[in-house]
Amino acid sequence: MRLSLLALLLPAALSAQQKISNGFQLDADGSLRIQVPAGTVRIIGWDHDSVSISGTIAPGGGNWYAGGRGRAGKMGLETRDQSGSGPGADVEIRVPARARLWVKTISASVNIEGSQGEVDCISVAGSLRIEGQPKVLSAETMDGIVIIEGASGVMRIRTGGGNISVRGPGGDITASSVGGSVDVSTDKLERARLESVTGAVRFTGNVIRGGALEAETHSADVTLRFLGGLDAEVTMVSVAGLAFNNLTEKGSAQPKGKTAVFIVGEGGAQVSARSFKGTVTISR
Amino acid sequence: MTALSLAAMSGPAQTESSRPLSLEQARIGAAQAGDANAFRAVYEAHVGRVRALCLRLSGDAARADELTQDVFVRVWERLGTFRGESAFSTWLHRLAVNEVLQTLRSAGRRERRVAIMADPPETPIHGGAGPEQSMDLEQAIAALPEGCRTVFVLHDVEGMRHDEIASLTGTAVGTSKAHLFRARRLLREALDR
Amino acid sequence: MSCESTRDDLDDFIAGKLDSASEAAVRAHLDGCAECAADLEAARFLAPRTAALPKEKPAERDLWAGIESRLGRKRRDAGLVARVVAIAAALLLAVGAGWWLRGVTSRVPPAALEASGASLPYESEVASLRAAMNDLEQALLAGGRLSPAVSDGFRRDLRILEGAITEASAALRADPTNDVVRELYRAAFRRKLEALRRVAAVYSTS
Repeated sequence: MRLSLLALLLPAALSAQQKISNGFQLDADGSLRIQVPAGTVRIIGWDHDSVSISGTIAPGGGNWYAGGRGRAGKMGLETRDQSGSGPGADVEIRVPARARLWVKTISASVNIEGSQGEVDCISVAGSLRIEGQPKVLSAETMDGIVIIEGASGVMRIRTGGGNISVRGPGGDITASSVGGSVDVSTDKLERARLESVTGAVRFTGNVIRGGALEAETHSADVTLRFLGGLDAEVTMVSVAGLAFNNLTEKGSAQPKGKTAVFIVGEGGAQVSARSFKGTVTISR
Repeated sequence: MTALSLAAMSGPAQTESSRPLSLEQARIGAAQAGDANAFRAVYEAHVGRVRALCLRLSGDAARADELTQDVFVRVWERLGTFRGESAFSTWLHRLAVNEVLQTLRSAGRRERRVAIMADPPETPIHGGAGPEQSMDLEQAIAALPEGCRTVFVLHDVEGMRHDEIASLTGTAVGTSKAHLFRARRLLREALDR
Repeated sequence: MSCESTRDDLDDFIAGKLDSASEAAVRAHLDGCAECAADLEAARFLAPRTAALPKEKPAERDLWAGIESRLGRKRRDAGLVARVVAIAAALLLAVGAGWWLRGVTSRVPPAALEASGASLPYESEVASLRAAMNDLEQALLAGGRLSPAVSDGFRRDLRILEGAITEASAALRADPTNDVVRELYRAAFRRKLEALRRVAAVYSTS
């Protein structure tokens, strides 16, 4: 009985779905604005000077608009719903790999692959996942998580409650969260500022000579783990918590509020780990 | 002092749509205080409409880009005079019309660019009458004599009244009306062909 | 009825906004005047087409860079006026706070801090800054101005940020010469200011 009812309903629901299929020419380094409040957005960089869009809009999801040519284009889902709780759209957008992307969503998750241009991604609650080598990346979400894989350029990442995870060869990273954790893993870090108020900050990997790593929390733990030989001047302190140095052979445990400064290897890089009341641990 | 400015911010929204305007007001407040990032957000929200106005008043895409930039630099300079008595978009629009007309007037003697029809047609982002039809009308508007074009754009496209147009262009109301009817006839003929 | 008054009424005539007497008068004139009839035809032909013109015409190139490069100069010119006019704005206080908090470390010698005992340097400025931040918070959170998704997250973040400021400020009071505490206190402020400014500037359409 229930099954037959479903069978009756299903085709109707599907038929109310709108299909999106269009595209336009866009210069290899043209810029593209994409606004999709709810649903999923998958963006794939490709080796063509054009944009190709496919996907579906859920019944009642709104109207799709898209247009542009040459230097610029824009597209998105027009909907009255500004809360992101509507049914939204699931879209796959192929873009010139070097295109400059500006993506804004409310609850829609964003997945970007193969971009080599500038990426600016903002969401209220959607998760942002970026794979590839964007030159400059800015990702911001209040409640979603941010996952970056493989990037080595300039990264600026901010979240409110969401966790941040960055894995890749290196680069210049600013990752800041209020309540989420910050997790960075990279072998050739040039420069990073990693901070969270109540989320843990973790770093695994290494810093290049002349590079700098600053990690800071208010109440959560800071854990830095260096793989391979590190050449750095290290500063570590927890004002109201403990700080453990497991990096040097002798190791040490710093009492509350005492700053430890020491040189590892030949020095050269700057590493600083601070917390107000979390535990700071640096190890290999 | 703080309470005063915040009272303005949290006062009744000057609704021109049901969107929460307080954020725009906050951005304007930040821009007024010199925050260029906030101003960029203001720019992003309005640039499409401002450029549409510049494009139609000038009849030239490259000129429209320059005028759009001039308008927003002017907006930045004048931002301190926006007191929230009218909706921001209304204030900005009026400022844009003024700025464009003044610039076009002072450049009036300069040779007009003749590339109007040669410019690549712009793809309209939002549908409606369909790209071809609106493109034809756009081109026909661009080809109008300047006075006719100004009045047609301000009256029929932007919805301004003849007395407002007359005061902006420094002409008589009768002149504005005459320009409008001539413009409509010319457009009708152009689109008929 | 004259041609002039007919023309004045033409748009209302097309829109069906005239009363029956005026409409009849316009109709009568149009029947006998080929010129006005042609104007009517042109207006009728154009009205739907004009209404269908796109409201926005985005540029094919990025215009912002050209604008931004001209703001810096203008900003200096307008700086004084803007500062005087807008100094009341909480957001200016927020911007100014970064400068002020930097000033704490560079301008006040440790001895002065020690001498100040339990009270922090610039305590009244900090108090007015915090009051301004609270006002801004209230303005942003007031009645449905942010979408529920944004305001819930914003409230939660503000609680966390405020908690960190309170703790850091108590610690600084207890140990006013501690550079690390001062830096963490400053960082806590900076994060809250950033959160406020970001919500005001970024989560605009949500």
